[in-house]
Amino acid sequence: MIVSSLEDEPDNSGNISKLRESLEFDFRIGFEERVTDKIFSKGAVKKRQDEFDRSFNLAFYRIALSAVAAIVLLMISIFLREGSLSFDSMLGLSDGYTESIICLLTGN
Amino acid sequence: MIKESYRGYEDDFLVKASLNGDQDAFGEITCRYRKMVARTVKGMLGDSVYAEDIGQEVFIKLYHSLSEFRGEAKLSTYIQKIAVNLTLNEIKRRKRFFSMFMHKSNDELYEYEISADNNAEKNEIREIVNRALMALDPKFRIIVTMRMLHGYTTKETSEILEIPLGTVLSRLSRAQEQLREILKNYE
Repeated sequence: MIVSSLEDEPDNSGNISKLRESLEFDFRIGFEERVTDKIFSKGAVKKRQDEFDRSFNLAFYRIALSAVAAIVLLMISIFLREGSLSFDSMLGLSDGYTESIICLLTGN
Repeated sequence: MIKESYRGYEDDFLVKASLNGDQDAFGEITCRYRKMVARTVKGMLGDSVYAEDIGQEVFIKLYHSLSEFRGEAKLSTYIQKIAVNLTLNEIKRRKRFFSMFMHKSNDELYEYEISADNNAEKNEIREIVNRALMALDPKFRIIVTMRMLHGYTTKETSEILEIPLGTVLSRLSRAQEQLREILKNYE
């Protein structure tokens, strides 16, 4: 009866309806009041605001930390490649590249 | 106590009233659909008090997402989708937790209480069905919950779960095979 209740065929014998009746699930008495209390009480509103602030701060710090880590890694790679952290080396304008930039700009 | 005057009002009216801050209107929505949500949540998580927490979360999430409800589908379908998503998330969360800290088999992840109902036959059927459902993989269990506990057609199940009809039919067939195996132990 349990497996046949999954078929799409009409329940002519009424067995499937009886099965569903015996499986009738419900929540405890006062469920609606508990739900509306959680949604509408002043404490609930403040709690939601606090949770939002906490999540927002967490997201901000995670992104900021990742950005700082990326910048530090970039500076380390520039230092290893160029040997210095000068303004020119960070912009990729160190001596070694002058000729290639001139070629690029003049087409020679 | 929910206002008696909201009984019999259409869902659209109740949604609009809830959006205007009418607590009783939302209370009526909760009252109207509590059993439907209970069937989904308890069918998936087992007949326990923990399922009630998820049930409450369904309606809390419904309230906060009412402004997104366009009225294109029925309110019951919208609520059902929220219930399905939250229940499946809870199952995934439990699996992750228990796989990290304990070694439990699939049906040990759930608890169920024996109903206080005095009808011994009903209690027995409920216990058998609970155990059989909890032994199923969640993706089959949700199909069985929709079909057996709610009586939705395969088309309605496909719409609620947002999966193709073919997938519903194949999972239903696999679920039936698994259930036959599981229920052999109870013959």
